[in-house]
Amino acid sequence: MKVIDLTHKELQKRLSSSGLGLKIGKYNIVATSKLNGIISHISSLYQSYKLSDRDEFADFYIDFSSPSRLRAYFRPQVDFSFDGATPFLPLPLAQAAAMFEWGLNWCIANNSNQYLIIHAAVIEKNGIGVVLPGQSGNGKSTLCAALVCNGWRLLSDEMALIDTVTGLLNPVPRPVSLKNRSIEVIGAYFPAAYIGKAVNDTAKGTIAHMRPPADSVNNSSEVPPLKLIFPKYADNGLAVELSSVPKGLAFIQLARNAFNYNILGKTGFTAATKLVEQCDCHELKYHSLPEALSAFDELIAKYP
Amino acid sequence: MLLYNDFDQHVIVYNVESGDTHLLDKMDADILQAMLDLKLSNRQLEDKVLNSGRCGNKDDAAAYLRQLIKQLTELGLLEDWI
Repeated sequence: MKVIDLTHKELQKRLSSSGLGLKIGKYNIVATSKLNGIISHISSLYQSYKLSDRDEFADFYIDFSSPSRLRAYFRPQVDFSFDGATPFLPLPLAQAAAMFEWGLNWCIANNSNQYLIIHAAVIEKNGIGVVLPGQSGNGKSTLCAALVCNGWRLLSDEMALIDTVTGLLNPVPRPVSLKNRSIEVIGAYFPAAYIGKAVNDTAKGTIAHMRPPADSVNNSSEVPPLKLIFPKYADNGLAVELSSVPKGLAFIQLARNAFNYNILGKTGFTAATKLVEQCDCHELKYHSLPEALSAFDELIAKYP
Repeated sequence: MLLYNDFDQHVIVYNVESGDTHLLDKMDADILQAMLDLKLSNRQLEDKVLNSGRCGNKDDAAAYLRQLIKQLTELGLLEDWI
């Protein structure tokens, strides 16, 4: 059974009582909330996600609520809690959808040290896993959204989870976070893509989430990372440029983009080494999305 | 304890105790490894390199080595007593 199989009332009832169990990749989360912003976010962007059974083990229990009754009327806010703890300050209620995604990112990033976690988008085609590391603002999520709309499988738009034992990429497909101008760019190039309601004035500007393809959501197979591509959006109108990055430099960039490299110590060093050794490393400077998409397809076509 | 990863012209050095990761040129990493493995003092290293017949201007090479050792020490990759 999937989220889409629930009526709005059933979804609301689950979220406001014992919780809605959602399977996201290998994670099982249980969410509770009475807030309309959370209910409509899940209803519109998590349609294809499978529901978990009530007695199944849950990795994370998360809750979104108003901090106080007074806050429901006066400058309403949303609070996020994880297993009863409140790691963030509340946000304006209008940012509930963004809070849901950021809260979930926080849960995964802070509780998954069986993986080396890199701040990166991860996609796959023909069995070739591609990791796109980078901080916010370098065009990673825009490129990821475009690739996913162009037939690539989404493993994550936010973090690469690399199994420290097998070296494989673990999928955790979630809505793709688009910021500011990317929202209209993706909407214009891919009118069939469903993009949720834009949330203004967040810490990252205006944010909207793109619904992930059902095929990606329901594919839990791990893939080997074979390409490491550092994307960089260049607002210069020049043609797409794909250049090799020496592996030593790629390693350092990767470590800088890792959430838990230092926590993992020697295990993180070994996992990062394995990743860099088995990947072709490139930097991709792009201005035009269609050109960037062609460059990716060429990369895959050339792969032996 | 240091771990080394040799990637063509660069070497990644991981300091297990501090958790720091460093990117070194291959030659610098070779010098570091030689100092640690052979337990060479600064003086012994200079003598060994300068008398190897493989460096051009000996003054430049000596200055380079001193600067390198200073930097490696600052990074915590070499002990002060070496």
